[in-house]
Amino acid sequence: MHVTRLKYVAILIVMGLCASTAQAVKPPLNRDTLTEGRRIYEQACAWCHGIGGEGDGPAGWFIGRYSSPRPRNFVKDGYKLRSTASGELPTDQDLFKVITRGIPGVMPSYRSLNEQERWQVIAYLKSWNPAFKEEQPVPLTFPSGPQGPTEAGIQNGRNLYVKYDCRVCHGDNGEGDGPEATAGHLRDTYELPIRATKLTDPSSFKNGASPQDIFRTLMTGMDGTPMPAYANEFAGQEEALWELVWYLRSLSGQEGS
Amino acid sequence: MGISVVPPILIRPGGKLTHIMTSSQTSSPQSHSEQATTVGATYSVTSLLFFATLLLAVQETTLVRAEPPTGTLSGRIMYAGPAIPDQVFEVNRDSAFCGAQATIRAVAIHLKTRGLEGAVVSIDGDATSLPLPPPPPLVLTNNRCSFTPRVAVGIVGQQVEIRNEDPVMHNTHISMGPRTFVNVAMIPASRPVGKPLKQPGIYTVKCDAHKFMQANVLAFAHPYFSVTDETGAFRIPDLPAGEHHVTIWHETLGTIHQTVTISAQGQTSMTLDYPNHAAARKP
Repeated sequence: MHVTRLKYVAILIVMGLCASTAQAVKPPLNRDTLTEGRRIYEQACAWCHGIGGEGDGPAGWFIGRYSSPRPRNFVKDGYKLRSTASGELPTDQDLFKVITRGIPGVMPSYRSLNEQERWQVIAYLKSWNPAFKEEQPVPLTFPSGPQGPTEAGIQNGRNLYVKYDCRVCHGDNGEGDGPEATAGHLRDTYELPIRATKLTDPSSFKNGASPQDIFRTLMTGMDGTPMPAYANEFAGQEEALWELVWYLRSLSGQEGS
Repeated sequence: MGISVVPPILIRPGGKLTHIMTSSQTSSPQSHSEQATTVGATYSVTSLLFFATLLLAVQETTLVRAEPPTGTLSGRIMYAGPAIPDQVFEVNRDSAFCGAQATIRAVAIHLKTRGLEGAVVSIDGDATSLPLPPPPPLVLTNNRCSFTPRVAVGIVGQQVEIRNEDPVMHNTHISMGPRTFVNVAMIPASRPVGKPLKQPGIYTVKCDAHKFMQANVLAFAHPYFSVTDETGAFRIPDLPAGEHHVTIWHETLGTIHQTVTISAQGQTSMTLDYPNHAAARKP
């Protein structure tokens, strides 16, 4: 128990250091930043997201033309991968994380850009959507210090998986073959067919596969898809949500963190 | 404007009321008594002008602060076009509770009045500067595998409160265009979920778990809107007098526009026949 706690404290410290490092090189929002962001964007992003950020770049026109996901339209789309409540914009850190990590099976990682360049691109792509000037995205509070899985906790997670109808989309064993998915009923915001995530394959998790990532995804939902947010359902019962996380991890034979 | 015609008045430290003499007045060769009479007369005229101006200013202020004249717009929206078939969905999930089929009415017409239910009548315009009391939450309930109400109207900032009264799980997914407003899981006996309306416009409401569940929320930046009842009647009170552009929206029939002139302190009536579906959608 003591070792587990120390491990999570260490993770939090490392995460905090990463965040503060990223923040440290964040350039001020001015014309130079936007000009540089535009230059990088047009080299690295416009091929899919389009020169005007409308998700209609030369490659993007083919990607997701008939099935989701389509490259994001930075002018008017919402965002799937966030730490904020459903319907809210992502924080700058959320955008930084996506650009840094990429999205498995969809978008490459852009670690090849240095941190300042990633921040410059973020400033530029945000400039297309006036909502970023009007709204102040606030991340949800995610409790730290999960106690790690137990047999009883995983079993309770399984009960929650059934209670919350997760299997209707993701399948009884998390293979992404639930009745709604196999019937082709799942659609994104553009009515494009969308697949349910195969929970037995963590490498395909778009929002990350660590326990914290899964916890966050359950809390925030995936805007623009049928995956709803569960923050309201688990408010004050975060321990139960962690049990669901442990169950989801167990579907791919993973335990704990 | 009126104040500028009055000679400037000073109250000196001694408390004596005087006015600043102009150069022509100081050079006039008059006797002491004549000067006293002239000064007395000047004081009288000045005082008169001062109080008259003050009175005018007070009246002007009173006029500015008075409530602008308002009236009420009421009437009925009707539909006499061709019948529009209802949508019928096969229910493939929770059919034991939701039923084997779900029917979505395209239009709801009152038999006696031919009135159209669920049309939203609103005044075109920007945000109001009037102080408004905080409106009660706009409750949107998952009830018997449908949304109640089917059409909800509210003002920007008003809380939308989502509830689930069904023994089955729903997800209430509200969007405006491609952007999600909120998408929340609502299991049986969920606690209500609230979120304030962010911007004016038409929000679509659906449940991804039950595709046949549909509703709309219309948000406005001002309080001048009304949704027609089952007889097609609507009423918008406290509308500033004058000419207004009115928009009428219906989820199936589309949007039409009308101009009305609201008379002060009175009722203005507007009865409108909705054109048929195809005509309404023409630009």
